[in-house]
Amino acid sequence: MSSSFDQTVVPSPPAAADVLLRRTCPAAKLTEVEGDFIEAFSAWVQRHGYSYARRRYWREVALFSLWTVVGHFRAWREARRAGGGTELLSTSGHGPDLAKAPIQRGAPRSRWEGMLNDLLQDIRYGMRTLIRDPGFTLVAVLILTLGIGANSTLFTMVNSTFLQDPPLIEAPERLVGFTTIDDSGPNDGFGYPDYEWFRDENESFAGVLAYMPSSTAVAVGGGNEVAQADAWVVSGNYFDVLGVSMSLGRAFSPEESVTPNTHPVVVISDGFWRRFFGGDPDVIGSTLRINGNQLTVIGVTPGGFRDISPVETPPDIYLPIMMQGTIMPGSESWLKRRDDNILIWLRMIGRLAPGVSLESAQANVDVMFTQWESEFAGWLESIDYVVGSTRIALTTGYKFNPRTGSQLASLLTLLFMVVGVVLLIAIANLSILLLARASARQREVGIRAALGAGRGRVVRQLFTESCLLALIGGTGGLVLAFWSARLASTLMPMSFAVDFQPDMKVAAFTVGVSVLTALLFGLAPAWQLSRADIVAFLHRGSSRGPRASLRNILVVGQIALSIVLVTGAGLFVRSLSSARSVDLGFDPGNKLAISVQLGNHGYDEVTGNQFVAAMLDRLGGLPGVAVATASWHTPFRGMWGSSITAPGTQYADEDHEFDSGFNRVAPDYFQAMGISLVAGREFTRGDDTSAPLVAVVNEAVAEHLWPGEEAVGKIIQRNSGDTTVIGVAANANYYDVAEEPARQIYLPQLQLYSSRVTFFVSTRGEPLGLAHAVEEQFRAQDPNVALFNVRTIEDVIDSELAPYRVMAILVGLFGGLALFLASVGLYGVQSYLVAGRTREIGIRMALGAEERQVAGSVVARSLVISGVGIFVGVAASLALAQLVQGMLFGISERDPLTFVSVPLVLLAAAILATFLPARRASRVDPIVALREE
Amino acid sequence: MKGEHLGEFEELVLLSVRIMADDASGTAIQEVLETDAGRPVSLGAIYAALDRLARKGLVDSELGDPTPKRGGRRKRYYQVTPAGVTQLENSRRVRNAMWRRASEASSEERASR
Repeated sequence: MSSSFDQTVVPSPPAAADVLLRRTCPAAKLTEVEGDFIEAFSAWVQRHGYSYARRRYWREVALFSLWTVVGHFRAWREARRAGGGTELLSTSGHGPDLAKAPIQRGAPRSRWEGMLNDLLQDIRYGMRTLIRDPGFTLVAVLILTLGIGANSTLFTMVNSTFLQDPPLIEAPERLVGFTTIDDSGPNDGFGYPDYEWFRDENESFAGVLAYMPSSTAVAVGGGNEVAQADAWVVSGNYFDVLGVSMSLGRAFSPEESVTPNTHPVVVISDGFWRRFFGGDPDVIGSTLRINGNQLTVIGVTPGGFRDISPVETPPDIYLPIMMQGTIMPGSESWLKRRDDNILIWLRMIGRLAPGVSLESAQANVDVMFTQWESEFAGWLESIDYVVGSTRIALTTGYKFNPRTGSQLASLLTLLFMVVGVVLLIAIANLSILLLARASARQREVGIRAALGAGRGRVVRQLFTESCLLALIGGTGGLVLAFWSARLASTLMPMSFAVDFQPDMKVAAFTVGVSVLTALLFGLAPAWQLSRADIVAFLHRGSSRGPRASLRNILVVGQIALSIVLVTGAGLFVRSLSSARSVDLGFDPGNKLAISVQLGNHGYDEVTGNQFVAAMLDRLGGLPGVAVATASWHTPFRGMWGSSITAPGTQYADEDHEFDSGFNRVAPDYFQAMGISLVAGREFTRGDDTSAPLVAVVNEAVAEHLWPGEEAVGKIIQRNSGDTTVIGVAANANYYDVAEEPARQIYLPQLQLYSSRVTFFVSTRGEPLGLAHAVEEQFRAQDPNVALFNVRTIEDVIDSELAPYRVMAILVGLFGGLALFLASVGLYGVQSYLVAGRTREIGIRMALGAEERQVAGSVVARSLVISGVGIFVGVAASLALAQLVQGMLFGISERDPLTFVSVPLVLLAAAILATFLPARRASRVDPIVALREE
Repeated sequence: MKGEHLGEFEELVLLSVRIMADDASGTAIQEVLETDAGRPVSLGAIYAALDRLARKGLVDSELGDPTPKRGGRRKRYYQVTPAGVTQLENSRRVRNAMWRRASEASSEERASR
């Protein structure tokens, strides 16, 4: 509270909080309390800044409101203890006399206080009702927890990936991503010279950064230690544009990003700093040996910084773009002029300059891109580029590359639809339960009404009860979301850098959904009850109660919705199992894959081949290893296609050229991978550069080129020369689980060197158990070689199948839940109906009806309702199946097996749900039943 | 309810009122608690405590003049009533007595080792 206070520069407290304060504060005290708050606010502003003061103000107001409510409650309790009115049947809308409460002395009672009292009263009464019927309450809360929890879980995922800003980045709402859009859809690649041009020539951005959106595995040494790490190359202004300040040292400076290979500096992540340097505070200036090059640590990112994207694992090490030759030798050419290089490898993100809108920045970029097109018109023409076919769009979705973003968005949208349906089913369910319960409560409501409670008051009371249920369920749902969101994220076909912590937004969403849910399931029964004829209620102990048609509609709707979900689940489960059962043509079991990029570590063809040979010996000699081999590609990861010719074939194409996939493989490849050889032999160590060129082709190639002939001994022509086919391998899947048999030609690695090599170790037992021993062998051979992606081939395939798996598991789970809820609903209705028909059944039995007939009539009624629901559900499923067409593997979206079995399952569930009520009906004692009235 | 006994928090608030003497408003008390007791407390909690203290007759209050610093709002000043002073003295006496016994006990313990 300093005296330099100047009224003209007072920042005002948040207006919404002020409104809340005025609402909650008793009128008599408003002036002084508001005064205190204003005074305190300006003190907070001066001491801790505006944003702290705002947060603090909100917190203080919220707590103040809470305290006021508590105060009212205490005062009211004291007043009641002192002999005030009873709350239960009070009808005035005010309940106990608050004027007696000391806190209220002398203050005029506000409308708000009256309502507060009604509310407290309703809550107490509601709680009591719920406690009195624990069975119902438990079932209702369980249903709501599952229904609301599923939605909270999904929202947590949406929130963490799309809504939350990445932490520790300054004003993230001013960041925009650059996306090129052409016929093939959105893309986010740019060449380095284009980046420089956009960065320097634009008129709209405070800064434009670029980075290569994939990590490179590097071997890092410091002292005697060597570790594996992930590195990113980023533009020199990366951290400045993001507004991230280092926790130690500094970020890159502009002069460090002008010329290649002249400033050997790195920034390391907080995690790497702790792991590798043990959190050494004097780390700045130390030297790191990265792939054999000496670089100096100049900065450490702050703890909690996890870079930009929620779906990319942040790196351990950041290198300036100009130093990328360190980890990718020869890539300096990527920095060259753009007209002889169409390489696009960088993502660009801009920070809008103050006062510049997204629209005007977009206009600026449009103009620049047109300039670019005309500047390179000649070159663009030579590559058949159509001017105007491409544009650059600025998007606020800077956090994702466009494809991952839209994949995630469509996945989450579909799942949101699924959990929405689950919630609808839960709501229908609750409505049915409440309606069934309504008959039991008619007398109670009738008494309240007779004592003068208005309809509004009764509806409000019943609605409060529904809200209580929904909020308890919602709280359960929020707790559920805490761990289920993380669980669900592990199933998703992408890895997440964010952890899925529900925050205030999720809590608010959950409360909103809970209240909406309460409105939907609670209002109809409340309304029906309040409308009921008071006199009639008091006369009769029970009655037919609310209209049967509403209840039937709810049951039909519920069954139809669960048919839709269970059908979806059935389709996805079938799709996964058909994807699993695909014959891949090789044996993925018990195999470890390890990739290296030898070119990054100074190996040439001769030394590289020596390294591979030495490693194959080392790995093959490990105990537990059946056979070790290597190839260029990992199955399902990457491909290389090319055209070749085959002279003297009957092949119809006039120039005898055809396309095929290629792989370069080491000796023993076919044996190790479990690909059978149909004819000939596989490569040996003798098939090297001194021997004649040889190849193994797969059956698809052989049939294509030499149908009906012996392929071994035939010649194919490649750039390197005529190559003799020495073997024919069975077809296998190389690029995709879903592919048709593709043509594949295998060449010996010893004749066609590649510096990227993936080793395969076929083990006798669990492959990951050998991972450590395998890594040891690499380290023993050369500790500076970085290992990429040590994993099993089954893992690779698993990640290929992830989209199918996530849908099968999640939709399957929710389908099961829907089935369960629908059965509970049907059971509830049938039980209720049987209870209502006790008298009728009693009479029928007295007149000689058999137990079986009685039970039969109950089952028949339920089957009619279920039948209608199933019919509607199947029709809806057939219509909706189109939606998931593209997500299914190997089955039609109208898969007959699914569409026949799901209705049968539902029917079985319906009969099961009716079984108990039917049995109860058949056990009705006519005498007891008739005496009841 | 604790009847006529002072809760720990009430005691702290009462002491703060005494410390601020002529300037004991809600915000002032909050500051004292934050700086002297190292205890961040919400204004709402302070008001609730002051209400209870007023009901027990331990504090009194009056409205001051409006000041521009408070957006022209009047300020309520609290002061400790004679009953409040007695209560504070009481609890100090009890505490002191108990502290004495506590330190005797611990020195005996040390001696007996």
